[in-house]
Amino acid sequence: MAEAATPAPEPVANVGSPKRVLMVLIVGNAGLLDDILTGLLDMGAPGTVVEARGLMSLLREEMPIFSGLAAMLPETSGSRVVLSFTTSDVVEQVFVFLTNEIEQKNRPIAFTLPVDAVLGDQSEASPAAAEPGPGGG
Amino acid sequence: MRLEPLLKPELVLVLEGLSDKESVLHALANAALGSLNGVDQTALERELAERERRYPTSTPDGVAFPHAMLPGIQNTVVVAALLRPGVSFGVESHPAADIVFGTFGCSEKPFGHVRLLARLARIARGPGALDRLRAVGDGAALFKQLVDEDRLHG
Repeated sequence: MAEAATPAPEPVANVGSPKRVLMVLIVGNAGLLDDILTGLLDMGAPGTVVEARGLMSLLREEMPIFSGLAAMLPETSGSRVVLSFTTSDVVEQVFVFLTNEIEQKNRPIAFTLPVDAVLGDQSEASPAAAEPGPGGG
Repeated sequence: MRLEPLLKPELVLVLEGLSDKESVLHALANAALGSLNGVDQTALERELAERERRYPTSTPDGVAFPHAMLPGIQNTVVVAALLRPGVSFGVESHPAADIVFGTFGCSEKPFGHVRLLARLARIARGPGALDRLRAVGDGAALFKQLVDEDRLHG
């Protein structure tokens, strides 16, 4: 006998305020990852960290046609990409933190993308279940 | 997450003459108990000790972050203490810890506790913060200094 099909959950529309966003940080200085992640956690922005390589590193090490130019390429050998599904008010705090507490030369590239619909995020930290921590922020 | 709303003057202490980690954990649990309704002190100390057994919570900067999470804890509690003298938390490469943040929270809300630990870590890493905290004379001054350090981080 066929089991009754479970109805697929409805994606949650992005309504109300603050807006839900995907925040992307590209951290070129791996030595600062600890400080940056600590700051993100403090502000309630958990994420997924992806080990990545910068294009220049790839050119230098794996594409011989460019290797002769190695001396002219930046020394940065890798980077980490942090993806965080969060809200615009948290992003505002994160950007203040990055501006005030991370030296400009080490600051990650940071940007956000709007999130139209979400499915499957059931974590305690989910913006869908956002509950301000003590003292907010 | 701001630390200030979680700080209570009576839970910010200067503890003198404690000789080992166990006595520090006992003092932290004892202090927190009055703010944790219905939680058993023995269970609290056991949880603190078990966490330390898995991996000591001290840092190379002489700060320790012992913490206990139990399902019966309804509200997050922070006990901050200066230890005079400092006490080893069992890591040979770490100096004796003389600044200790004991934190107690609900095991069903782990992310909130991670946020709190992250906040404490940010405060401890602030330029000059540990020197300023170590320089205070008593619990009241430590409370005020912790509030000031917290405010530096927005």
